[in-house]
Amino acid sequence: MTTLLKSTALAVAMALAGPLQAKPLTVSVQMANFSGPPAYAAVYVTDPQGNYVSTLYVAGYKSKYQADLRTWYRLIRRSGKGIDGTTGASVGRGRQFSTTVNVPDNLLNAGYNLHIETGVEDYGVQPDDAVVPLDDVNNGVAVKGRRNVGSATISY
Amino acid sequence: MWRAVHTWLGLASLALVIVLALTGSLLSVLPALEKLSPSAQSAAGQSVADLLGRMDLTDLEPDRLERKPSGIVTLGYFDASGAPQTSYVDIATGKLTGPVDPGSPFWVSLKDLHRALFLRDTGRAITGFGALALALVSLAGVFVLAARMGGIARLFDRVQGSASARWHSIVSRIVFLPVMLSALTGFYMVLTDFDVLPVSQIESLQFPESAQGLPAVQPGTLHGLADVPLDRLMMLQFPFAGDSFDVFTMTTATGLTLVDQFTGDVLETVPATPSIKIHAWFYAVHTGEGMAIVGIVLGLAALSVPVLGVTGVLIWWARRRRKVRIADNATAGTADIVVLVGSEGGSTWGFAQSLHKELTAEGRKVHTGDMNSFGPQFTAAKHILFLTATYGNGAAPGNADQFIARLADLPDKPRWSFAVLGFGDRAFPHYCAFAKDVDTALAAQRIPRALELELINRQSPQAFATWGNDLGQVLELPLSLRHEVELPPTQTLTLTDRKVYGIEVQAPTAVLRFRREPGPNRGMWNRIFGTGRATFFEPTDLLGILPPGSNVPRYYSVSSDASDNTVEICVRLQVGGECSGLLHQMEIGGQIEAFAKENPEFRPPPGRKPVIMVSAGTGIAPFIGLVRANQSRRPMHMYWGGRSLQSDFLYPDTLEHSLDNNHLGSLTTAFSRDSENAYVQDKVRADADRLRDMIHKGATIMVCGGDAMAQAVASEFNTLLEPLGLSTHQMRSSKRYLEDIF
Repeated sequence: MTTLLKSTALAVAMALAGPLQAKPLTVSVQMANFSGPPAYAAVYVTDPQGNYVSTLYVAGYKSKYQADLRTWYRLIRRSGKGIDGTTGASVGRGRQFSTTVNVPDNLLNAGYNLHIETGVEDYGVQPDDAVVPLDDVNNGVAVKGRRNVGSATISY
Repeated sequence: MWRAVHTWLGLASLALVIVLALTGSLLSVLPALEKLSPSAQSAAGQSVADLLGRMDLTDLEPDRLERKPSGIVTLGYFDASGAPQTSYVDIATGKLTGPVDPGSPFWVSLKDLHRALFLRDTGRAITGFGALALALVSLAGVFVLAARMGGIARLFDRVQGSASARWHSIVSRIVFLPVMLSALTGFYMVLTDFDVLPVSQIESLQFPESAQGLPAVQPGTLHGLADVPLDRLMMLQFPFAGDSFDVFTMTTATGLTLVDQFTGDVLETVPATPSIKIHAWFYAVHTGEGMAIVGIVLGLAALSVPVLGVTGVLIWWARRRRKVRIADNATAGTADIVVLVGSEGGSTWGFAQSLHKELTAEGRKVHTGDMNSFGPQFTAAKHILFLTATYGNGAAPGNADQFIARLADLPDKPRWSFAVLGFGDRAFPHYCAFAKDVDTALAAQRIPRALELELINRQSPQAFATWGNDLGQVLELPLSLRHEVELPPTQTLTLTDRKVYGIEVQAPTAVLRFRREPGPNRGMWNRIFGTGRATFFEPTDLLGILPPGSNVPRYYSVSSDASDNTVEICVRLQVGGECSGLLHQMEIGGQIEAFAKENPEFRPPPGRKPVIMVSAGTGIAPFIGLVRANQSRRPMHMYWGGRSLQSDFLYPDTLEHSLDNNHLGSLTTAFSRDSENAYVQDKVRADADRLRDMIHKGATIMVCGGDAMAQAVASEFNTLLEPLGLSTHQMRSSKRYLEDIF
């Protein structure tokens, strides 16, 4: 199921990008030592104009809390798409999670950005907790998060 | 089926449910405490914008403004360093009054324990199971109780049985509704937590955006926020700092309102969906938030869960312990005598065991089993003996409820003959009703009868032995059935006082007072958990006396109250009576072995409604006990019959004293050998109008004495009850006509 979801996850992106080669991209996130229960997080990609492209991963299963990540949610609404991407458990402070997806080559070094929006029950939501441009400069480099994310790293 | 669910699910979930109930009970006081806290303020007469206008939001990044049902308002924000904070807000000044106390670690842990047993989602699933189990066990319990009481309509009748059974059913009837409410709302909350029942209005939300980026506006000036009264606010979500698309999201009980952060225009209103309203209501009921009183009521009711758990385990254990093992049980197809028992592990099985043992010792092949196992399989049987109790309101015991149907399905006319032995207590309506049904049903099938129907009152070993003699003649066996009732531990009583009456009228009757010798006091434990083993005496309790060398106890009503360390009984000398003879000859200082037996079915209902006590001879004893204990001066009216005022007027001093201080409302006597030549039933007839009036006011009638007297009295009552449209039969059913017959 995971594979199926991941392949559909970027189907739109691939359709936009044309029949090009794709390569696996891994996002690794190290959570900060924040207060409160495990965090919800949405990992998604926007195009150079800031439009929503696709969701790579959602941490936290419950839809009512997912909707609290409202910048992400609003972008999805504005794009007219549905929620896609793999879902995993919510992540506690100091924990890590990672996800791997196939990304078409033409999304790399083309102004696309990876965003992580996080929310902790009773402690508020942080849009753009981490933003990582999908380019060679950031490949393998840990980017510092703003609140609940300690650091985020892309590698491909 | 319901009993199996009630018992096994109850046992399986017991520890979990007790943890949930106790933690829930403690947590239930939180909403009330919160309501009393100084931070809870009235918000009447002002809008959300009014409060925002008073608040200084510079230097911080507001995230959300929340108002709890208790009136506490908090602001969640990020401070200058970006760290999340939550502070109380003083409604009057708009000032932040200090960080929100997350609760002492005790309360936080308690909440986590209650919600998820410290195990996060796994624990949450387990607590959900616990809530569901509690609801199912409670529901099944209603059906078990209804079966026990003889129908749903009798659910609230007085309960009989052991102390634990009485406590279990009395408490459960009180707390059923609140406990069910807690369990179902709790289970519902777990279902919503796991999205099994989604609670969301996200589907209908359009996520509108503020129209255009404009210079920041003080939120207190936004008209969309000025239209909502502060006391209706649940939460106001601020737009993200620097996100000019974002909006104010305001949650109230009626739904969501999205407000443009620059113009104050209402961009969208989303009415709360039914699922959200239901969730809000269930949440409030379960937690007591905004319903502090409901919370405390449910919390108190939850305290009963451990009580019900413990008494339930005791009932289950007692039932298990009573299960009798039959040694040398022949198979159904080879036995020439089959004993079928209708009793759920009760004393009837003990009698069956004695019978089985005796018949086997005489060389017969005997099979003993449940009455529900009845069928055509007893191919070698010459006799089938049915030993059965009666359940509740004349119904079949659980292991015999299929019998009548199975009998009708019998393919061929059987070659065996039958005998039915019923077990019961004559004091109850429907005495041995099921045994009679079984006897009638067998006879209706034209099955030959080996013995007439015999009924055993109160497990009488003598009556059982007599039936055994009759059976022995039919089987041509020298059968001597000795059924040994398991007796409770006895204590030694020393005779301290005796008064003898009635010698002149050939009715020697002794009032004997004994001192209880100090011994290990297991009284309280037995009182709460035991089964008729009380060592304290309530009025109407029985004293079981074992004559030396005998293991068949004789029972006497206790006429003392529980207040001192003495026991008083009243004993008529019976011709040839082994025990009464012994007691009458006993010198002061003499000792006997005895034990207490509860007689809970022969007690007046609690309350202040009148009690009519009718007795003759020594039947006065339990009533003397009740009158002595009548500190509340409840109206008690005694009718008593003796032979001669001069000779056998029992307890004259006690009665005179009780009349003087109103412990006894009235005393009406009848003496058969004095000039009036009257019996107690004559006095009942003469007083018909007065008695009818008392019965109309809710009086309970209690009758104690011999069989003939009890029948004569019942017949008089039937006559006088007729104009009220009542009968002793109806009053027995509603437990307002109680008899103790010897």
